[in-house]
Amino acid sequence: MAKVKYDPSADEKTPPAPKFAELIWIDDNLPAGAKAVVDNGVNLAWNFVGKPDPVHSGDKAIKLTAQALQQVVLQEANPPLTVGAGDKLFAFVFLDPANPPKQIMLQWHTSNWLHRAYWGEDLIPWGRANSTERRRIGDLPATGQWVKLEVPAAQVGIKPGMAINGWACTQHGGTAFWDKNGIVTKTPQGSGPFDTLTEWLQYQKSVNGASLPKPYQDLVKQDPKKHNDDHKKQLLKYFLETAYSGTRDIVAPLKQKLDPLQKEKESLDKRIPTTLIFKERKDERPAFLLKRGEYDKRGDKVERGIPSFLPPLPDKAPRNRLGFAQWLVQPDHPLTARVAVNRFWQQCFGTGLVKTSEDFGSQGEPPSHPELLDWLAVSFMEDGWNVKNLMKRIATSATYRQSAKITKDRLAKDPDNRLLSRGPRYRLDAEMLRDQALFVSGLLVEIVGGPSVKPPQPPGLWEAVAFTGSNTGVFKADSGKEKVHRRSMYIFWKRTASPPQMNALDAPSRESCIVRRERTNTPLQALLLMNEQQYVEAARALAERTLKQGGKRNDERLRFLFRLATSRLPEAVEQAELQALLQDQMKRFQADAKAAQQLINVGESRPDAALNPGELAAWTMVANLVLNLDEVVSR
Amino acid sequence: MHLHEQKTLLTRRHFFARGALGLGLPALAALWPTTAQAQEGRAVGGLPSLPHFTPKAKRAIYLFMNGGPSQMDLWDYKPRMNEWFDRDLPESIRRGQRLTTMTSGQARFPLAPSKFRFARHGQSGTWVSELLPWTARLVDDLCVVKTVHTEAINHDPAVTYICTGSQIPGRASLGSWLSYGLGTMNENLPAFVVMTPTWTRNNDQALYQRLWGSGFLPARHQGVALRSNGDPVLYLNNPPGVDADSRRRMLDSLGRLNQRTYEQLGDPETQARIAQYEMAFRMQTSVPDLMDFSREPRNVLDLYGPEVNRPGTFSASCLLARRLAERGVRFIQIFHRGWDQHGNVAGDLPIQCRDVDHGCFGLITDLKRLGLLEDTLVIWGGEFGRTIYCQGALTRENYGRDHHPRCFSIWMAGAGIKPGMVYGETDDFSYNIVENPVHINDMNATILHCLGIDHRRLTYRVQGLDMRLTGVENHGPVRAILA
Repeated sequence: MAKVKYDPSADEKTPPAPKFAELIWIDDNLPAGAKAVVDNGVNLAWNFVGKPDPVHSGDKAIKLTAQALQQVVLQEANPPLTVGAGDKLFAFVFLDPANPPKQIMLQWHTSNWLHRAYWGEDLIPWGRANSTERRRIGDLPATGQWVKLEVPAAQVGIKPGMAINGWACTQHGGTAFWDKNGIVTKTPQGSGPFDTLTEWLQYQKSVNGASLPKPYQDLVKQDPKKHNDDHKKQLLKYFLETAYSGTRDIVAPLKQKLDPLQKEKESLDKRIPTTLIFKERKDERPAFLLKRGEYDKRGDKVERGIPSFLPPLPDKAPRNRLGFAQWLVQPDHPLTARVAVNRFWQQCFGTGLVKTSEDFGSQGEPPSHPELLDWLAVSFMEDGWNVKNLMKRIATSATYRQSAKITKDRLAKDPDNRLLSRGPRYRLDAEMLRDQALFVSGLLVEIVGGPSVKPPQPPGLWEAVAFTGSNTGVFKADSGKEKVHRRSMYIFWKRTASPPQMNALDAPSRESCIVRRERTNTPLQALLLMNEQQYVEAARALAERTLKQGGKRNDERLRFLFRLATSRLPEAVEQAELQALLQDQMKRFQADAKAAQQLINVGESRPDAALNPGELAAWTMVANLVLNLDEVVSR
Repeated sequence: MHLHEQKTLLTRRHFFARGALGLGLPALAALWPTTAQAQEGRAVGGLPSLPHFTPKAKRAIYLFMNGGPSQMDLWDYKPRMNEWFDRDLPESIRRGQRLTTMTSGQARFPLAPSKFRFARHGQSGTWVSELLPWTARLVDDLCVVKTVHTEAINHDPAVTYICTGSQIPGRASLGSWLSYGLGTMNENLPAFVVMTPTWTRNNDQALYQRLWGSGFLPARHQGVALRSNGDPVLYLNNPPGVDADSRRRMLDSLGRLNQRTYEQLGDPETQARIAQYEMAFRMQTSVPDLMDFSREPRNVLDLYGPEVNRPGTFSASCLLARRLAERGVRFIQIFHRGWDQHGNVAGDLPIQCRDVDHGCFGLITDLKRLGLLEDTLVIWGGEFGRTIYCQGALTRENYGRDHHPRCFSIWMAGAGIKPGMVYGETDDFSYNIVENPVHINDMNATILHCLGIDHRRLTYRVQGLDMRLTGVENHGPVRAILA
């Protein structure tokens, strides 16, 4: 590149930047490279007609007669139209007085079709109303005459430097003639190569340097007179490397090698999932007291620090999140550890030693066993905050291993088990219940990590609430075992319409911070656990597993199934109850093959074809019962 | 006890009766009562201290117009604005008040008089726009409040505010407070039912589950969505291939096994669970029965207009609301969407009104016919109003309106409310309130009052604060509109 010679005197000969002028893009033919989109549904063929039909420019105009919503569309034009600052898009239209449309619309394609302008009624529902996606420009023009439609590109969200490669003339009903579609621009079309630096700068200025790296973009937006020698050198170098006609022969083959590599890198980058992280800002963001919490009523400026009634930050700690974290876990106080061990206790026992696990302040409840809480907290810290050790300590304690049996006497003395007179017993959380059903049935996919998944849910839940045009407006379930049978913690969460199988079982909405869940007991939960697709599928899979692995005889199989779900063998009465149910269901499903098929076909996975459908269906009902046992849904 | 003995003793009704009455279980008590109790008209669940005084209304139906209906095109008649066409909103009216960023950049705020005709209706002579011909026939039953106001200026915080008492998510919704405070009057249906009907324009602002969520209250108080497609209540129907007999047979075994667990471990939750499964089974019959309009007489269906026969429409939802009210559901809320007319008021507002007008008429008329309006409160309204000045292009024939929190119109009707009156006055621009302001917390306090609740005394302790629906500032029921 150092060898390239560039003669700056050429710049002096470059004429001044061009003025705005009309550039006609569609007149009697489609533009170069353009493909018409025709499906004879909404998208009709481009019908170029000559006189006696009305023609505004050239020899032909486009005639479009629409039944309700119809249009003519072209795309993939090459070269595209390059849009500069202040450009206006235009088209001429002639509405048939005998049969005028109710609405006319122009649409442009850049990287998407979300640039629409319309006149008349608002019947065409595409895009978000009152935005660049669907901008009302005015009333329908007068009929029986040629009228120019003109739309500033900025009003439909087409920014300088964007390229238009698709165009559509759209109508709701009626007949109209369209002609002379184009752009008012001063931007040279095509992106080079350029013979002089000045030409290139003129072009870049008109498109705001849209495709340039940031430093160059900033430079070309400035008045060239403000460029110092260093700037000029940088610009010249970049120009010679990328856009100068004189270096094309050298650059082109290199570019040919580089481009696919860059594309490959981009696609590789795209495949790496994004995750959000915290990072301290370079400068502290100023913070203020807000009077009565009003964001626009600032009081005194405040500094980073700890409320003065609490011990101060350690001297050497940085005044940021790291310093705060160090303060939180300082070994000379047990506060953080108390809160932490209380939550793990809550996880194991259903209720924390401090019941209000979210509130250890004066408004919270005092701990039921203060010394125990402190002992756990201190040993947790001494253990280096080792959660596994803590959980082991709790789970192997005599308290945790007590029977959950409640006698009348104990119920009277210790109704809520705050005195820990018995072992904990409570309904499992939403996620655990689903995971348990999937695990017991052998369906659970235990892969760790990766993007969220969307197991099936009843149709219409997102649609009922979503903003139209939202990217979570329409729910589409994932398919494939590795998606739909993953642990519930991976379920995609739309906060304004949370997953119903979680929501029904008291999973918080995730719109505010909740550290303690309610545990309710409702008929809707019963319906969920009996009828939801994945719970039914889990029952069938559990039935299959039982038939294949549980032995040959039904009594063996019942014991196998029951033990999988409850971790114990059934007692004789329980076995008899299940045996009776199995026989009744067997009778029914052997007599009704269609019903049996329907039941065992619920869910993503397919039933084993080698098994007798009637038998499998009957066992599915038994498994469905077992998965709904109070003993199974409770710990 | 032997199994065969249990079989004879423990029928499902028996389970249930024992669960609800025999043991006085905390978990069940808050749930749904037995037939016997419902027939006595006594509520089950709820707080022992409630109602605080004898209520006028036993239940309420809230017709929520999501997006912010344009008050000056529907209820707040401002004839003087015709002289102000395309003139600028005077600074003496705007007074530097906050605007949304959708119009704050506008060079001008030209005034857009309503293009719709208004007329006086009924004995009361209430002014109503031509867009609501059916509702106009009801004015003598309605109390129109023209001076409701809020602080929120955008949809999400504003709807969250009016439905939960706070602009920030996490609080309990009105219906869940009622369920928590008053309990339920029906054995087979939730205390709080929500519907999200279809709307013609099918393009607009979102809803959020939190609007009928229970926030910090136990989740059993959250609104249950009644759906027009698929299962009317989620997971109501048995899986394909399982009929009611099969389910019954499974439940019989399940009940006996759970009963055994109860006898061994003595956990009251187990008894409650048995009852819940029985309740679920009964819902499998009662809900389809609720949804079935086939026995509604022709003349009743006609009250709601032709759309009543299309499941999921606002009209059909109104008829369902009446059927729910009849069955003792405490609170029914219908969220109709599409009222955010930033542009094309002329084209879109008539469509919105057509969607709801006939259904509103049907609901009030039908409730009245059945004598239910005497103990049912009905509320119609959105989250804020719209600006008198135009957003976007202004012509005599068409215009747009931005959000306006400083005054908007709602109506209330039925139990506890004075009929045939208009309350509150706004200035000529429908911009500021000149007389009798009603903050949305006042409005919610009024609703609670009609249901026998002192809004200051219905509280729930969260993180050391006694939360209430109406916040901590000095708000209260609007005495002047109480019957």
